[in-house]
Amino acid sequence: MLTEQQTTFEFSRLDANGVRESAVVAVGGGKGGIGKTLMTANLGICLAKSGRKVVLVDADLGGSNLHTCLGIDFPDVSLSDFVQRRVDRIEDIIVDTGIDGLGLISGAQDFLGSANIKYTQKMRVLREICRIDTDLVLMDLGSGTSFNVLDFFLVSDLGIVMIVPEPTSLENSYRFIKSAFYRLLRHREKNQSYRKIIEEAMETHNEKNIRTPYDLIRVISSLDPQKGDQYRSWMMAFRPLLVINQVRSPEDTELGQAVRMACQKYFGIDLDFLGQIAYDDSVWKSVRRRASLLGNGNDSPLAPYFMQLADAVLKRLIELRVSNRWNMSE
Amino acid sequence: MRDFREQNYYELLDAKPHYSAQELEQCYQRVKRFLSPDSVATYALFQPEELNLLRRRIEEAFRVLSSPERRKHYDQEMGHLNAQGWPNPVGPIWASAAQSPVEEPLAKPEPPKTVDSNPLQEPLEQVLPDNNAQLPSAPADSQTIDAAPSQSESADASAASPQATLQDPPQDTPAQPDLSSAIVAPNGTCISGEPVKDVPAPPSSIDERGDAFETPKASETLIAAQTAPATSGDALRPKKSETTPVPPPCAPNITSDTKFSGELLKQVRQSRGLTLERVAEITKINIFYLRTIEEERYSNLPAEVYVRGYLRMVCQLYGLDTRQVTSTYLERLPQSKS
Repeated sequence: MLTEQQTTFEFSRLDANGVRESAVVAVGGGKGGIGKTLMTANLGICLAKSGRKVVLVDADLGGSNLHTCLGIDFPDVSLSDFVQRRVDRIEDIIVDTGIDGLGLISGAQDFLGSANIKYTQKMRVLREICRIDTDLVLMDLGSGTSFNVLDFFLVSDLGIVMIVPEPTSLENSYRFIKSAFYRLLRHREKNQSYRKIIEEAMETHNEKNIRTPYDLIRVISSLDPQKGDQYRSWMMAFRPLLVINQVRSPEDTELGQAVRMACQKYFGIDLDFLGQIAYDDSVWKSVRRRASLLGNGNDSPLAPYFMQLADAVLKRLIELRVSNRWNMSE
Repeated sequence: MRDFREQNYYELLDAKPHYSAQELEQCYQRVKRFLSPDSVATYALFQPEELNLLRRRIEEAFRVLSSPERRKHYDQEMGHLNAQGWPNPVGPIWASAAQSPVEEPLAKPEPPKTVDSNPLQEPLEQVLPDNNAQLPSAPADSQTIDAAPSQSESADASAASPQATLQDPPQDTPAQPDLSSAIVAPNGTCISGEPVKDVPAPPSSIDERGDAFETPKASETLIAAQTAPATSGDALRPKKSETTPVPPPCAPNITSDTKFSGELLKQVRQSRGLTLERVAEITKINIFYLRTIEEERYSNLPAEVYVRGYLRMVCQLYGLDTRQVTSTYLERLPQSKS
């Protein structure tokens, strides 16, 4: 499956201080209960089995389930220990998953209120996640479009948006994509006047009748054409990856292309269709058993789908070559 | 990437300029299917009137591009072809064919494809006429754009087919086109290789034909002169006798009291030797709205804030007083629109 180039490619980079930075992939999407955690867990297993060193991060603050999908018991340490400084280094909370090359930073037994961590705590967590000494960090985000979820998504090298073929999922995911892009602009825009316009655009009913990100760019361009071009270039670089889960019918197999087209034509945002996962009973059975789909000794008809997705993720990371984060503060 | 209000006809159909007629038809059917009102992909995204507008634009795009004659003229005006019907070597045909492989659905396995490290460049953004130096040039933020992920959509979709119970999705998207098919014969056959029959001679004046597009005379030579590469072969270089510019009509008399109508804006544009397509290319304003502004079809105009912005950009291009034009033109709008 993996070419020689992929197995020898060094994803890790060094920052200005010589500290190794890993490639970071985030899995979000807006709607809860559609399989993000399951995909994160089993994608991590695939990537680890391909020879990469992977650390999974349960970033679903206040709703952690990653350890359950991996089939491991409650870890003794979790992200809360790092946030509340009971441990000094983030490496001290990485637990063994029983799979070679795969570690886990769990959110289990997090303190009540962990979903509402302070801004400074969040930035510290994000910075240290990016500095973990590993090849890949794979983050499972929570549902919704809170600032915490969006910032975890935006700090990544690749952001995956997962949807299922249901109107409710589409609705939440479109909102997620739009929110993430506006959040990105707001982080990057230093001028208060333009920030105000971005914040106005975040309101569904606004005076300027801005309905889409491209409407916003039109308004900005009319005020300052050069700034409009800057925003356009940011939009071109903003390409969340799209995964369709629970595909059951031939119509569902076209949904990825259809969503990509609709998003492009309405928002002006060009999604990158990564792949799809079929619906299969082995999924809910494995969750009931509290076992992973693809862990040691486990087999699933969905294994080829995850291998395909892992392959596609690695290809994207190779294309990036260097850190091309949607940097929140350029 | 532009939204549907500003996309050109090829972008609306999710197609490329070098596609054959059959491939365009497939793209058209695909776009219609994906963006139907019943499609779950459009749910919670488009308002009904927006979806109607998009579908009308798609129909318009296919109406033009499905006719070899109209398509050829559209390609010439968009800079895809020079005056002789040859593909413009620095135009979108070559750029898009070389850098943007077609996206294919997940299907049977194919060997890994070479990833093109050059991101998709929007070729029209690189074309700015010399006589519009007063316009702010589009800054090529090369670092950001160059660092953007490669658009190798075919690579992501052509992964190994999983052994699943689902059937392979229908092969309704065009395969990656053969570049050799983009070469046009000297006898003027169109891009697909099919001979163009009964192509009418361009009208002798710059006046609109009353069709979906104009046939430029002066601007056509501007495009040929500005975009023909210096190192191209003689066969691609337009002959001097065919590029003798036709003088544009005289500029209308404008004073500080002049009230601007759509017709007057059109006269000013023509006196500058510009077609609507050229204005659309320079300003990035959808040609549909430019035409609507000139024809004063108010029901098709977007919200006033956009019309103001469009008028401002057009004034900069024509060298008109922005405040005078916007205030006098917007006075003409019906109360419901302003």
